[in-house]
Amino acid sequence: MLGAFLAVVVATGTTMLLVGWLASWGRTPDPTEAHWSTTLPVLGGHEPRVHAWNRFHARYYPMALVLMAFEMEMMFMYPWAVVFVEVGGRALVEMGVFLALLSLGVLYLWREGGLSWQ
Amino acid sequence: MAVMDRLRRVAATAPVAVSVALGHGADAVLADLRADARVDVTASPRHATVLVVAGHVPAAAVAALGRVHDQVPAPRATVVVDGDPARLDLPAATATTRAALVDELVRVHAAVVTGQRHDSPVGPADNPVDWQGIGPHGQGGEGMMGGVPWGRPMAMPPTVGRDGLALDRLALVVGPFLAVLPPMLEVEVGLQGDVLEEVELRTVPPDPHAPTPPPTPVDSGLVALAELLALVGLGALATTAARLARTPDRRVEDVAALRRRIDRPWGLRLGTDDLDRLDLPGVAPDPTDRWRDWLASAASTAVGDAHHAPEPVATDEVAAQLVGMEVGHAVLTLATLRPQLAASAVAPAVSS
Repeated sequence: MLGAFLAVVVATGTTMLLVGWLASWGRTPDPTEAHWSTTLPVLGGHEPRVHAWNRFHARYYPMALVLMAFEMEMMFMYPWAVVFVEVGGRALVEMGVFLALLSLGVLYLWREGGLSWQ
Repeated sequence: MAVMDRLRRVAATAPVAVSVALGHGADAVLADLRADARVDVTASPRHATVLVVAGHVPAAAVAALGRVHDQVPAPRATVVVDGDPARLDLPAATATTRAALVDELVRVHAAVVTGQRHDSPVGPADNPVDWQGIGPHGQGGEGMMGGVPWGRPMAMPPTVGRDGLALDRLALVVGPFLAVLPPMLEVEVGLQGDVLEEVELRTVPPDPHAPTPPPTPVDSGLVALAELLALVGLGALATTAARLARTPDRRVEDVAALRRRIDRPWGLRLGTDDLDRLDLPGVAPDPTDRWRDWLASAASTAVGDAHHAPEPVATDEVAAQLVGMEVGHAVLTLATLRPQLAASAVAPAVSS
């Protein structure tokens, strides 16, 4: 029992010593302390004119929507089909609501051009 | 300490990582550096230890040179070839001649690595422009996310882009010292994704009373070929081409041997065969034919024919051809126009 505690104490102590030793190696460089002109992006002599915060198109997005709309839909419909006879009309309404919500995604996808073959 | 000193001495024997800021008429220096095994010419100042300034740098490009100087990571040093460091606003730089350049580079590199030399940055220590938001934490104001952060507006879409989406277009001005571009060329691009939507090319002309440079002692076509080979990552072949370029009495067999090594479907043609063809007066439409012309010219001067200086091209016509290209294709296309663009930087062509 004592041996197990001792192992934990030794492991903790060793880890703390190692981490302390690593931390004492050097300060993390602070980018705000750097000389400003050395931090500019390399453009061959010019400063950037617009900020680097930039909106990009998430190109995988239509593909993710296609997967959600058609693949996940089927995944939910299999267990639904198993209990459909048991539950009856209520299940039909629930699945109708689910499909109606999903079809909004399909409509959005259509508008974004995700269904056109490129 | 003794261990560190020994390690530094070992580090000092490594090839000198050099970034070259090319002015007008610096092909000879560039070929010297590419050809020498003691020097490693990098594509970016961030990978370099020593900045080499070669050729005539016009007064209009001195400020840009200062920015490139600061982008060499510390500890850095600068060597100016056949020029005046004071005129370039680089007071700490070493002046040398083309003949003594590589020996000087090795000395300077050893001094930098052993901690005896570090040129201070020449640009401002702090951003001259503050964050300009209106909120208590600098947030808010004009623009997509508020404010004009550090004096730079947000990239906002001027129009709906090529795919019908209103996404931000990245507007950049690159050059005149970007290593992948021909010397003294500035490219203003509007990028959407990696496609050039708007291109403007400008050259920085020499100063009006600049001394006329002596005729270059190297074959500028082969220098351009060396740069193209280095650009596509064929560094060893680039060294061969540069060595050939600076050999005064090169043999036609050596040129033919170089051509056999690169003119293959899996050689340099892999990089240039599927580039867009150009419709420019005086320029071969096929990109592969353009560097074949350099080799043909080197072969004909090797057997004693007169060298024909490249004709300048109109930069606005080149720019019009670059619109719609991907960035990589555009950079390669510009590299295949290097002799013509270098000629038009000295004596601009009027568009037809």
